[in-house]
Amino acid sequence: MNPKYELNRNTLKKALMQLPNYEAPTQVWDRIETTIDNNKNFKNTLSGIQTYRAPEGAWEEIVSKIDSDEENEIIAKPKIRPLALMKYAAVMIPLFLLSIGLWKYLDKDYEMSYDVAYIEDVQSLVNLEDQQLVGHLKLLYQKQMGINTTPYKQLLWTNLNDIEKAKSELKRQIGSFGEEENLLIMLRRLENEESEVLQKMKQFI
Amino acid sequence: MGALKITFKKQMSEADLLEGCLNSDRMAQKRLFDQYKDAMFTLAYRITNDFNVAEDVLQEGFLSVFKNIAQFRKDSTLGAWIKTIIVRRALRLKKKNQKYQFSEELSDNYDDKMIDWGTSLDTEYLETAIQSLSTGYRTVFILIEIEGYSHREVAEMLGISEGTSKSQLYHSKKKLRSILKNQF
Repeated sequence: MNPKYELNRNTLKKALMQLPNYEAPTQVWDRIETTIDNNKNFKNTLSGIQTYRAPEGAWEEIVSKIDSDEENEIIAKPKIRPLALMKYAAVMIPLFLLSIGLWKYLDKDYEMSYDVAYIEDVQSLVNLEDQQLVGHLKLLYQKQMGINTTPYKQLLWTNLNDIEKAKSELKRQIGSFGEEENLLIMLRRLENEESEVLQKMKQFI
Repeated sequence: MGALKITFKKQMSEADLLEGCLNSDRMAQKRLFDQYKDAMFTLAYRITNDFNVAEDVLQEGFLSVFKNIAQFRKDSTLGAWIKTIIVRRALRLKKKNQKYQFSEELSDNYDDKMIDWGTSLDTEYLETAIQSLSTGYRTVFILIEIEGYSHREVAEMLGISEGTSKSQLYHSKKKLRSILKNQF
């Protein structure tokens, strides 16, 4: 179909058909052939390239690494299965409520009782320098040593006596020379050591 | 008296050539090249307007043909498929050096812009006139008028609209006619 803006289009058509053809340069095929061969040689060279064996024991190392990683993961993050937990709770909660209800229903005279326990804090006693209590503790410890003595118990006893001697000497010095800071520091250290020894002795009473 | 030496050149159909090229048969590849080399070189030259670049297009184009021959779907002739590869390769190489410039679309009313080709055209002058067209005009003119591509195909190859392709063709013809008139 001729475009409507052209007159004598056939003249153009005829002339175009007679346009010259150009001869392709002869060396083009040689270059194509060389390129194809080079590519083939390159591929052959690549396919023949040296391969290396994986080191012996590589698989064992991988497996042990996987195992240790899994163990660490288990330790770090215990697996909690929410569904299992919910199932467990769904059974246990009604049972618990039922048992409380039954217990209250059957035992109407139930009364709550309380038991109070007092824990003796040796440390605080020592800090208060209640010599009377310390004397009492020593008495009890001596009794224990009479029943069953060990070198360790003997050592604690000797340490305590040495500390007490050092304390009384230090107190004497403080009385003579006044409350010097160095003497007071030494006294506090001895008191701390005494309290530690008393703590250890208390375990055997 | 020397013996008469008769050689028979085995005729190969397009199917044989295709089969051979698929098997990387060097003889089939050479035959295919020989069959199309001049037409493709001419086409490459017309688009690039440079014999050296056309040579590169021919070489790279046929290497691409042999490499991608398995992708030929037989929905056109083998020649048409090769031509498309050469055109695209030529356009790509040409684009590297020169950016195409296309004028804006024209309206469909060309009544007052008639181009009259007269009763005869000198082929030699026509060839020179075509080569003197700007890249955009020349490419569209060659692809449509000489190679027989449609505006849709050209638009797709050049990345332009069909309307632009039509306007380029019109302007190229007008320019061509003007050049030819001046030469006479």
